[in-house]
Amino acid sequence: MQHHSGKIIYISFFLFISFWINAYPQQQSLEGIYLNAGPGWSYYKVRDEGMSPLLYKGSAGLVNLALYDIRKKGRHLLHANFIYGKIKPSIYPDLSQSYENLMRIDIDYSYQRFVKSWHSGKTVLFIGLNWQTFQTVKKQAVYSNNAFNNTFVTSLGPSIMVLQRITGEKRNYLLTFQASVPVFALIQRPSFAFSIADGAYNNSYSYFNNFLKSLRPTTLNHYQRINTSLTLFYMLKNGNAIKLGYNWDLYNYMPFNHVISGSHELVVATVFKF
Amino acid sequence: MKTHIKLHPLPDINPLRFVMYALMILMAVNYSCEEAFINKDPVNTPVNNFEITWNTLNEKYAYFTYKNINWDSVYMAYRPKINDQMNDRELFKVMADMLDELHDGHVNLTSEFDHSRSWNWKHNSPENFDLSLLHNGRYLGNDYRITGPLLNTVIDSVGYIYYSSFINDISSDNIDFLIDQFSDLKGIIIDIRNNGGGNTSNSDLLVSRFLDKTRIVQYEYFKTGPGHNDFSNLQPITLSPAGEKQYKKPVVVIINRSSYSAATDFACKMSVIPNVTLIGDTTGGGGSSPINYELPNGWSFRFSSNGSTTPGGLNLENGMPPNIHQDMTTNDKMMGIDSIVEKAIRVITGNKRN
Repeated sequence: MQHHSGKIIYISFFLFISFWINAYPQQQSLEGIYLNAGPGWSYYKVRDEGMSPLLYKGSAGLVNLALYDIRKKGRHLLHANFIYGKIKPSIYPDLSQSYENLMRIDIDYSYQRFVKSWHSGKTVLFIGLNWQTFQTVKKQAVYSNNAFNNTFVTSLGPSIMVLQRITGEKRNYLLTFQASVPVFALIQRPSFAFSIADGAYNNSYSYFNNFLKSLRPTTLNHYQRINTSLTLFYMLKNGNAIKLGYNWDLYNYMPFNHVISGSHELVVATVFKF
Repeated sequence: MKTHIKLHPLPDINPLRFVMYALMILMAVNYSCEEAFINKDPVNTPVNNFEITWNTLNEKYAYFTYKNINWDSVYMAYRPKINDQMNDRELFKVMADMLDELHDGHVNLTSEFDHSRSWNWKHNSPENFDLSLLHNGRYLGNDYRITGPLLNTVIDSVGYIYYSSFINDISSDNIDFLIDQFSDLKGIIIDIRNNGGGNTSNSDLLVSRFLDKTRIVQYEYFKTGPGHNDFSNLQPITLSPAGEKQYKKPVVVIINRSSYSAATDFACKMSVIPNVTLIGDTTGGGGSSPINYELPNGWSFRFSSNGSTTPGGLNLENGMPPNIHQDMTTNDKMMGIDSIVEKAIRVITGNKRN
């Protein structure tokens, strides 16, 4: 009982998130289409100098959905993350009613190509391209005309993934580590001193027209982001899987009203093979 | 010569323990990276709170040039009064006094114990409003209607509406009812004296029921950079007719120096409509949509980061002037007469009341 309870504690503690799932049961082929759905938790921190000089932190709920198309030489990975929570400044949490409602949507597409394997396929390297898009909406509780802060980023960059098969006493697991760094992005941020998107002042234009006008191209000199994930898969006999994932994301955008944001996310999800 | 990367096989350890160690190491590395890149919060000292306020305004306040304010001189005058040994009330007093140099009703400092305000833009102006006079039998009386936030009645075949604050939301149903009730009358008076402003969406909703066609009703400009003259081009604000019915008969909007912010906005937008006349005194101004910012000590402040003009180019920060200037006279007040309302009725009907 003590031995099994230890395993339960380990599994409960290790909630990992994977945005680029590769499920490899030891004997059966992993090729196919997979659908992934599961809840999670995010610890989010952000300093957005357009709204406040203070660092806001807090927890958020998360829902992860994903669709994977696994082939022999490559894989298409599409996933979406929905986050909603409340963040507060840590410097005076008891003095003020100030807080922000945070909502974030991530939609990522990745194509990973097989490069090389070692140890009879137990260790595999993939390299690919990653197209990441996210939108963050923050609502400041005590502000008026600039209560809403909307940030939209769509970016493209390389990604690398290492896959490791792990053989346990009675179970086989799959561990993946992935990292991606966008090198080019289109970004919409609020203007210098208002919540209207920069360049989208004219209300006689349509929303979509103003949206396009407000997108700013940028590269690594102004926008830096790194996203890493560590994922553990426990394969089930029917080809489905349980995945436990940990994801870390950090981005930094500088031109004016500097914003820097970091998040740690834990997800448990069920993967269904079709 | 080829170089081969050789990966040694993983050590023979419990796999979940291996994953636990990998996770702990990864979380520690990630957390350390965050700490390295994300700076600490600004220190919460009186000096730093003052500096953040002054610097934020220096970069983002919209009216330094328009109001001919030397913000550097203000710094030189007030910074010596700040020290890290002062208490909150002392700090608040000095900072509130500094913000008062902007002469802007949209600039406020808010703490847990006080809220600074600046009313010096309406000093030495006649009040031109007496609510008790409006409630006498000659005007609203006792039998007026309360339609949403709009007090209303009929005075000598003219519809009269008093809107005390744009903070109080109106609905399309409210306006539909009043337009219907007043449709057979000679005109409508909309009295927004002492209306301190509020939600401009209420202003737009009301204006759209009197518009004859889509019109440019205002221009706005926004700070685009830290320089005192870094602004966007003037951006047109258009409004279109909305709702089931449009009111096309003569309309008078009554204003005074205490009609501020959204009330100025309303007066400006109504003034572009051909059948609308503004009567009274120039509004108090407040042509911006102020934004908020907060400080390390938990206080927040509000300030103007954009401006607006009439379609003709008049900056609304100092107010919207009337088409017909009319003050309340002392003699009229003593006789229970509101000179401005009487003037409005005369403009609509062409007749002087008894």
